[in-house]
Amino acid sequence: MNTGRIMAIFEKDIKEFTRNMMLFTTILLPIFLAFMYSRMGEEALPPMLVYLIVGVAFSAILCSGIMTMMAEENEKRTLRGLVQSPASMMDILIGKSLVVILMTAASLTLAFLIMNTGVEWSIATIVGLVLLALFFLNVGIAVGLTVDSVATTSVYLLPVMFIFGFTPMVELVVSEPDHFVRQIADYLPLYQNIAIHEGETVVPLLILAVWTLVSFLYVAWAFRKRMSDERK
Amino acid sequence: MHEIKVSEVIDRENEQYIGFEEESVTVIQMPIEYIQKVIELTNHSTSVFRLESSARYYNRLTVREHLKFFNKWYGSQMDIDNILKQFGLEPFQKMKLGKCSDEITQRMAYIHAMMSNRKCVLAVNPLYNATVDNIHLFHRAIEQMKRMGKAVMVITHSTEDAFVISQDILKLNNQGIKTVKTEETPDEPQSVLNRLKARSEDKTIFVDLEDIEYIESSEGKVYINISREKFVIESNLTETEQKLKDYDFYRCHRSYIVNLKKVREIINWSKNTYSIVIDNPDKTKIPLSRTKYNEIQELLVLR
Repeated sequence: MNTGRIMAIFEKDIKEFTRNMMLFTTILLPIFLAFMYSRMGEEALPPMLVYLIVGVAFSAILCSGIMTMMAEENEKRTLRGLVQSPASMMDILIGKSLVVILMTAASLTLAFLIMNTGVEWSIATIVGLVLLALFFLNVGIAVGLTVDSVATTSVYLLPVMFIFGFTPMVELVVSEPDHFVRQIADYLPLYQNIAIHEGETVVPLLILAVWTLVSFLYVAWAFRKRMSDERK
Repeated sequence: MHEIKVSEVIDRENEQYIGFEEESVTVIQMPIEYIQKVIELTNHSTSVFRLESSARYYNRLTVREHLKFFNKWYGSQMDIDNILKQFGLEPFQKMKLGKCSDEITQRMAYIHAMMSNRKCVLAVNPLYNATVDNIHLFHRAIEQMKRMGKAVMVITHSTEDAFVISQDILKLNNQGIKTVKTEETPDEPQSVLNRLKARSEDKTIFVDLEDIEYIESSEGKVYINISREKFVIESNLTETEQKLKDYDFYRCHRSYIVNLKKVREIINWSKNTYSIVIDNPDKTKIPLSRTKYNEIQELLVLR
C-alpha cells in the first residue's frame, strides 16, 4: 500500500466521478426517493421504505459506481501504464473505493436528514450497515475486475440491484407471507438490517457476516483471476 | 537491463539479443508481426514501459490535471509548468483530453513515458502519423529520457521513421538483426532515357521520371514511389542512380534516391539526423545522410 498513489487515484477519480453525468446523477436517486416518501405522511416511515432507500443507495452508488469506474478503465485500457504489480492494483481499488464510499455517505446522510426515519443508532444498526456496505462494495469491485466494458456491467448490475438492493419490494410483488420466495428473501442481506431495526441482533448480524464473507471470497477470486490474466 | 532474445521474436535459431541500454536510444526497424511479438515478450516485464501513439487517457481530466496525476502516481518530481511549456501544451492545459486532438494525445504519451518510474521505455511506432512538431518533441523527449538514465528502444515498421529518429539504425528480419550504416558510394554520370521500367504484379509499367518522388531499396529490392504507390524495378540502386544522374535525381542516403524536383524542405532533427520532406500530400520523410547535407543544398538552389 502506498498512500501517495492512493491519494493520486482518489483525487483523479473524484474529478472523474463528478464529471461523469451517468455516475453523478446516481447520488440524487436516494435523495429524491427520500423526498418523495417523506411527503407521504407526518409519522415515521416504515422500516421497509427506509431500508429500501439504503438498498438503493448502496446498489446504485456504491456498487454500480465502482463497477462502472473499473469497467471504464478496463475498456479504455488506461490502467496498463499505471499498474505494474498486485500492490499498485490494490492502491487503485482502495482509492476508487474511497471515492464511492464518500459519495454514498454524502447522499445517504442527506436522504436521512430529509426523512423521518425512526432509526435508533445502536451499535448493532451501525455494524449492520457497515457489513451491508462492505457486501455491496465487494460485489462491485469483483464485477469491475472481471468485466471488460461499461456496457456489460448492466448485465451484472440489474440482478444485484433487484435481488439485493430492492429486496423489500418483494412484499409488493408476492403478497402471501408464507410463499417460498418470501422465505428465501428473509435470508437476503437487506432483511437482516430490517430485523436489526426491529430489535433482533445476534442472528441477523451472523447472517449478514456470512454474506459479507462470501463477498470477500468473491472479490479475492476476482482479484487473483485478474492478476493472473494480466500476466498471460 | 532488460534483454530480448532475437530467436524468440523471429522464431528461428539465433544467438543475438536485443538489449535496452542505459542512457541511450536503440532504433530497430522490423516487420509488423515482429513488433507484435516484441510487445508480447515485454508485456509482463515490470521494468519496461510501453509508449504507444494510440494510448488513451482519462478523457474527463484536463491536460494539466492529468500531468499532476502522473506526477503523484509515479512519485516523480517534475515541474509541470516547465513540461507544459516545453511540449507546447500551455494553450491546451485547461482542455479536457477527450476534446484534444490526436497530436496532443501523442504528446501526452511521450510525456507519460518520461514521467513513468520504469527504467526501460519501449516506443512502438512513436512517430505514427506524427506532425513535424511532434517529431521535434519526440527528439526532445528522448534527450530528456537519456539524461534521466532511461534506456529507450524504438521499434517501427517504417524505415523512414527509423531514420528520422537516428542516423544509425538496426534492421530485424528473419535472418536476425543487422546494423544499417549510412555510408558513401562512388558515383559517375552517363546514359539517356526518360522513363523507367517497373513491375506491378503481372504488368510492366513505364514510369515518367518527373512522377517519381523517390526510390528506395529495401530487403534487396528496389522500389519506385509514386504518390502512395510502390513499384519494383529490376536494377539495383547504384545502377539506377547512374541512369538518373542527369535527370535531377540525387542519392541522398545509402538506400534512397530522391527526385530533387519533389524536395519540399529539409529538416534537421538533431545534430546528426536530417530528413527530406517530399512535396506530396503525406509529406513523406526520407532520410538524408549527414555527409550529403551540404551537397544536396547546393544542388537544390540556382547556381
